[in-house]
Amino acid sequence: MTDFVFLPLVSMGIFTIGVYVLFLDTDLLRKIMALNFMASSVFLLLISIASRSNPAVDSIPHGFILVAIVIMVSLTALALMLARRIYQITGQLYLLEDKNDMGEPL
Amino acid sequence: MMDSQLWAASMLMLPLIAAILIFIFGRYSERVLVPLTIIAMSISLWNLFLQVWTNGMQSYPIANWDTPLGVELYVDGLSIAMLIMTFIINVCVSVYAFKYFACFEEQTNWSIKTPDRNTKALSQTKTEHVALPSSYKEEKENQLVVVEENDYLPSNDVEEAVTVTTKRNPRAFPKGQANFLFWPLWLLLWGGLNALFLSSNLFSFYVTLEILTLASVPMIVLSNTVLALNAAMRYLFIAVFASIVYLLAIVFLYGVVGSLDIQSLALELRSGATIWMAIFLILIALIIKSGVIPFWLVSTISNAPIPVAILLVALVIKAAFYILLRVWFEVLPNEILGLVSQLVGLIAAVIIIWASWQALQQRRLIGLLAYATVAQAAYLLLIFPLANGITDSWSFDAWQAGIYLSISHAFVLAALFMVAGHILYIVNSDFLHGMQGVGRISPLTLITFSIAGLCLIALPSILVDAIWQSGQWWWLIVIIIGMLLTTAYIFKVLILLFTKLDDPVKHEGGLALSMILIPLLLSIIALSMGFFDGEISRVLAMESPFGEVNRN
Repeated sequence: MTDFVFLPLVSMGIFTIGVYVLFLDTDLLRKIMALNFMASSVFLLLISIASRSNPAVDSIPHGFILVAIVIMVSLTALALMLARRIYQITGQLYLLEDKNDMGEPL
Repeated sequence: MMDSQLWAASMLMLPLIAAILIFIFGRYSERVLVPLTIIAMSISLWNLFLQVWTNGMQSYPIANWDTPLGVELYVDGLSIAMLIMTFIINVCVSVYAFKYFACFEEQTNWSIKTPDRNTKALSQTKTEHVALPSSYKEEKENQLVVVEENDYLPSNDVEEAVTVTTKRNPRAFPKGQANFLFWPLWLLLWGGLNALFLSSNLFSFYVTLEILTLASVPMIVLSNTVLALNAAMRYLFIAVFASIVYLLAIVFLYGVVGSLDIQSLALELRSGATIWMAIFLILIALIIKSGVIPFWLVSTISNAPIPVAILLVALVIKAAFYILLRVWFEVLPNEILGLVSQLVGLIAAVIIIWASWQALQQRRLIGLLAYATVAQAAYLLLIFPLANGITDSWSFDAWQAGIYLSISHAFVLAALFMVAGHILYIVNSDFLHGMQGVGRISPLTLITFSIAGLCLIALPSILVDAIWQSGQWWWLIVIIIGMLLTTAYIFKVLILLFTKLDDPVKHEGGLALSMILIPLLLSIIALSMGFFDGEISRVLAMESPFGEVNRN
């Protein structure tokens, strides 16, 4: 039972770090890593839920995690491709402003 | 029974198979395979519809695996309505996209928005500022961005203007490649949408939402500009963030109930601290996904190619709204909905008025339509306070009005964006004042824009009945202000289109008649939905969460 206090707390801590970096950091690579942090923390929470039902381990969360990992890998690949293209074109790894002074989309 | 299982599975598999085939066979194969896919899809959709129409709700466990571990395809009235909407929009978009890509490829070589910024439109207006970091100014070899001083400006304008022009990057896409790459991605999006509407499991919703993200982000980049790249990156971050928040919420639900199937969740869920947390997380995630709060929709739409913008506006944000409908009315315990729903309504009201006001301020047609989309997406959220749970006698009406609104809103906005694409093609400028006198070149454009625009103004009035019955008069004020603002910005465009110029706008090439007949068809469909009120209501009532009691 102590496990079910410790692991969720750790996972929510990691989730918070992920959200913090995603919103406050400007570097694209760190943002992508932050997304992966958030996803991993949710997986950790799922694992802790699965381990709750001793001795027979709940197998459905494993299925969820496997599917979600595949999704996160492909999304990360796509995000890295976009970041690389942005770097090739603009020479920097930041997002540009998407609105002008008048609030109109560029 | 076996038959209908086949039809449901083919709804899901056909677009995915076609996407892979088009990708394998390469360019020009889409001219054969896309029509074939559409024909096959129409057959399976029709048979599935007949099954649901005669036998009611259908559900099929895939490969006979039972629900805790297996995945189930589930079709009821709401799903079939959404599937039909997706089919109609997708067919129209595919015909439109063939023409659109052909037109813009020969005309502007994949930089649709550039000519107007340098030449005609910019020289007519005051200075247009584009904020750029200083490193932009160094032109680098073999790159997409060229920054140049604009010398078309009248000299009395004091400040210099920096404009971004895009040249084709020789390494990016060979000529015509972007045109071809649209098709596999579009089919992937279609497959993802069908899978989403056939799911009955909160985790399947997560998976299909991510398929939509994976398909729509590369499509935004197809317009091959730096701004589109930025918008796509921003959209990817926001969409993935929302998905992970949604995943966290359903993990909470799983921790409480031990299943993510909609039916078993609905039976076992009781209110408690964890459920409150899950509700708020789901709301945050899906309100972000449906394009209402941070305005990712605006920059994304104004930088994507028009067919992609239509797909985002008409289908992708509707998918998030559909999940919210399912979760709200079929999963969450009824006694806590009333409290949260007023909060959702408040957010929606603020966004409706603010986004409509922003739309009125825009100087570009696509920007105007993008803010209009945000406002219209916020109208959909108003049905949650109106329905106020599922027990009241008007709840079913409000629920039905919401679905009705979302379907006709998809048709109308798709039509408006298609007309906008046609106007861009004629005047080669997306600045509003560059569009004066378009009605004289192409009266059909003007007629279609008028019909679709009037539909857009009138749409929220669908909700009035539910407001009347529920007695929540304060939402009526929001709707009236919203409708007045909508009228203002639609007529702002219409007046410009009607303007008679001494020196009419010149335009080269044909009028691309199919680009204007399809939106006309779509707005007629949206109009005629009113005549099939009874049938649509009967379809939606099948297996609705409200049961037999509240009908009529």
